[in-house]
Amino acid sequence: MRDNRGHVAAPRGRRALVLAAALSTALALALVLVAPPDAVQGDAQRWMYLHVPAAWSAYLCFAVVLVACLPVALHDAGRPLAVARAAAEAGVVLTAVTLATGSVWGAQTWGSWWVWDARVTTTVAMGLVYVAFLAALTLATGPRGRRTAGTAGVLGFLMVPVVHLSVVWWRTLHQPPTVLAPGTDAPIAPVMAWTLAVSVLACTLLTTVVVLDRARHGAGHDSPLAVADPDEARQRLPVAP
Amino acid sequence: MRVALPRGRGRAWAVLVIAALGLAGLLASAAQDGLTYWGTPSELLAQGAMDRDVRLGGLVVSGSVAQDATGASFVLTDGATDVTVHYAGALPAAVREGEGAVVEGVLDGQVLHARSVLLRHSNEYRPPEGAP
Repeated sequence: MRDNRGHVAAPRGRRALVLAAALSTALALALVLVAPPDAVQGDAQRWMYLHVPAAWSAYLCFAVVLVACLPVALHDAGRPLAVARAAAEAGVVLTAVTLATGSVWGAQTWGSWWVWDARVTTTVAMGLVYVAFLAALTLATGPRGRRTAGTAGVLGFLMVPVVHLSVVWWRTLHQPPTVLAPGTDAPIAPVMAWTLAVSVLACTLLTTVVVLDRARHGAGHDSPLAVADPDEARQRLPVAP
Repeated sequence: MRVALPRGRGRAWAVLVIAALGLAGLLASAAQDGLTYWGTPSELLAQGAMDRDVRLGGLVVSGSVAQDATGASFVLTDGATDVTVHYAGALPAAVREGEGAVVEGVLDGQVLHARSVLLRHSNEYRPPEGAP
């Protein structure tokens, strides 16, 4: 078997990563509590500090899937896909968190728990694409299946710009982007921007810890020979938080 | 209650089929209705009266919001065209003049009888005036 990419965050690196994740999470929670409410939305706007980091981390996970799948899709069908699987799993969970927090935020500000506008519709589609990718990866036992799954993992990333720019391309109920907006200064008060930045950092670090841990523990089962019983493999994985 | 779920490869196939069907459904609905969630007053009035519900979006004109026991009304504008919205019920507390709203209902001439009123908010985030 090839070298296991999961080992990049070996014990010492992992400890530093966990410490950084814990510290930034504590700081983020403190900032979220002391940040001022929004002039228009009031306290409901605080959902932004969970909704935006979850969405960003989901994008990041799907970028990791893209990078991990590229060699498999292009030439080397035997390369381990444990990192891609772990990142896709985390990305799907984070997409669900994005939809759930967006739903509550929408109930409080829009007046509706759920609308099928372009942002919500494309986000659901993005989640389904990676659910399909994970199923395809589980079903892939030979080189051909793995190449198919890898290609899905590469092409699936096309959903990320579609989701992000959906609020620019189509008229939606969702507002246009604030921070990663094309060509404008972010119309957000500095204290809110800092709170959001620390929240995004904390969520990114927590996601990195979870993805690396799951990739490391799942790696032994990720080879064309070892996926004979994926249920058995799954039972040996730690449960995601 | 226990439901016998398929295991192993059977389950993976089931998940794959369900995800693919969901994607196909989203794609079909997007192809049929488009992904544009609402029309502007100018667009909807140009289309004329329709039997089915329409979604109208615009800014709430300042000074136009009126609420009494029987219902509420306000005017939505896109800057060029105004549409008066009647809504039988109490408006959400957060209907604010000058902010965006999307209403769903039947268009009757220049008047829209709304079934639901949704509020848009801008992408600007600021503390209230005078806050530290």
